[in-house]
Amino acid sequence: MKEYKLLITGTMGAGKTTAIRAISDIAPIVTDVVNHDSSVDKARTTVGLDYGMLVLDNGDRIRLFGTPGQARFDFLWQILARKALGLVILIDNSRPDPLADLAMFLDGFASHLETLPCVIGVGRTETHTTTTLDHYADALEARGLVFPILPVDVRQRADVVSLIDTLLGQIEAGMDLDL
Amino acid sequence: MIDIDNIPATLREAAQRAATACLAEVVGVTAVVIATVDGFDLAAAFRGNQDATRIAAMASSISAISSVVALEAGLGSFKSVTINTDAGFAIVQAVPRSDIELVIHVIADGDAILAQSMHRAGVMARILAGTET
Amino acid sequence: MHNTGDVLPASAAVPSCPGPRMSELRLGAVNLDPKDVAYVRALVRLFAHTEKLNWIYADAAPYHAVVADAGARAAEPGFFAGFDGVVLSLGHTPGASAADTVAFPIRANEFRDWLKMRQDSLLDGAFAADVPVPVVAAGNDTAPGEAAGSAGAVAALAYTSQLGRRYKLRRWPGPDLLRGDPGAMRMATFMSRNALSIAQLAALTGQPEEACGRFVATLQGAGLLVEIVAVADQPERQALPARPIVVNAPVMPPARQGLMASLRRHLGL
Repeated sequence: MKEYKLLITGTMGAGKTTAIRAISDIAPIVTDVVNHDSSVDKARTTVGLDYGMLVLDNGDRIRLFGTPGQARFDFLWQILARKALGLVILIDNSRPDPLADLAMFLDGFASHLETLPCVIGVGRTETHTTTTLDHYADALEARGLVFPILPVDVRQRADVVSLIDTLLGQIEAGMDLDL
Repeated sequence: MIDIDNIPATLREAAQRAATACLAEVVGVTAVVIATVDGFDLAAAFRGNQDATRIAAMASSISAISSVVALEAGLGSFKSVTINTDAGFAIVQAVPRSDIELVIHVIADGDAILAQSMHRAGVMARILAGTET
Repeated sequence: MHNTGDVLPASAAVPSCPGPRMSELRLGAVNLDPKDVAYVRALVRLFAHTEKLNWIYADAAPYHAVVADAGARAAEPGFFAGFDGVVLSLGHTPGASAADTVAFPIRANEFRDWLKMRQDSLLDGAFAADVPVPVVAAGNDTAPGEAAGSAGAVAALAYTSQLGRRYKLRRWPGPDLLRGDPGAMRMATFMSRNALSIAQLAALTGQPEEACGRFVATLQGAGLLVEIVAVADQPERQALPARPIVVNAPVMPPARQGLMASLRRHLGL
């Protein structure tokens, strides 16, 4: 039996816990506590990690880890990113500066993103249209990065599956290809 | 819900007094940080240069993960966890309050006595749990 | 040869296009290889869509402008004698203006920039006249033309692949280019991490080569690709993240195929 890890990070309220819950075979383990940050309208926030799991038909396991979204927990980002197969960055497009949020995660995972497959999922693009997907592509291009950018609603399982499918494509594309 | 910007002054002051006293009175203790469960530092006392913000975040993560461990194991509520290292130890202690849960993080070097530090962390927790606001 | 269905007598004056009252601008080609004609046609069509340009490719006169190679004036003197529209020269052509010259082989972004520049000058009244553009005979840019153009663009890209050209995304395509197509997503994903030829892209994604060629042409037309020439043909590489340039058609290790397939099955894909 082999075990693999997929990591989901993103801003507070972007839907990391929801995304894991949408696809996990087990009831996710969450380490959320009362939120005392009044700038974010959310009762609870993840401060440790979220944990879910997929058990494949051959017995292999995919461990799903969700990180806290705030920069003060970036030490956990480094720990959780170790040996991850791929990374999903979820951004909430309704926040005041979603591109700055993206930059925070691109900076926080910079050393990993040189090789780690990654997909960007952007929520609330229909209701908040000031920042477009092109803007996200601009931001990545300015850093010499090319990652898929998908509009998502993590409350919809199909969207989460699509996100993971795209990440799997990134993982496949990033594997050392035999000649 | 109390947010970080309007934590009662009495609680902050009590936390600072507790942290300062612990650092001064317990041999080997090098840092005390008292934080909210979501990682905002409330009070801190150090020997040397340490980052209260970072320690607060770490303490909240450890507390949260430990809480889940306790729950999954059917052992009830998390109270404290000790991290033993080559050169000392760290204690994360829960402070149960109905209005705002706190965590205490005590870092100690090789000169410290574990039992003494754990006892002191428990005393601080009881004081802060009972502090009226 | 003048690139239309008919060969004009050398003495015939080829009408240039009178100034456009409507916004359509007609571009033709003189003395180009069929594959280059196909490529020009494909690019014009792409930019008409992505850049909202007014150009169409015209198989027959009148033209507002023509694309010509270095030997066109010698090969078609009659055409140029009677033509007072704009001539876009491919590669160094004696007497050609720098503004109306692009490199050969054609680079999509240079061609696009020229189309924009000339569109601005033409529509601003450089050829001002209040005469309607003649109605174009049907069939110039209809479905068969589209198919031929696509096939030509694919053939052109396959040709360039034979030269060792690989393509890598420099930027993720927008939803208008991907159109929710899983095949397009898959191709874009592979090209986001590797410089690939069309053949390699087809082998990796399982998409037909023609579809890969069309998609690469689309991305190229949108200026989203970096073209990489294989090391054997050109010592200097364009800067890339640390990934080996794949030379032969790659094959994914079976074990990893298994993991991805198993995970996709598990998710119901």
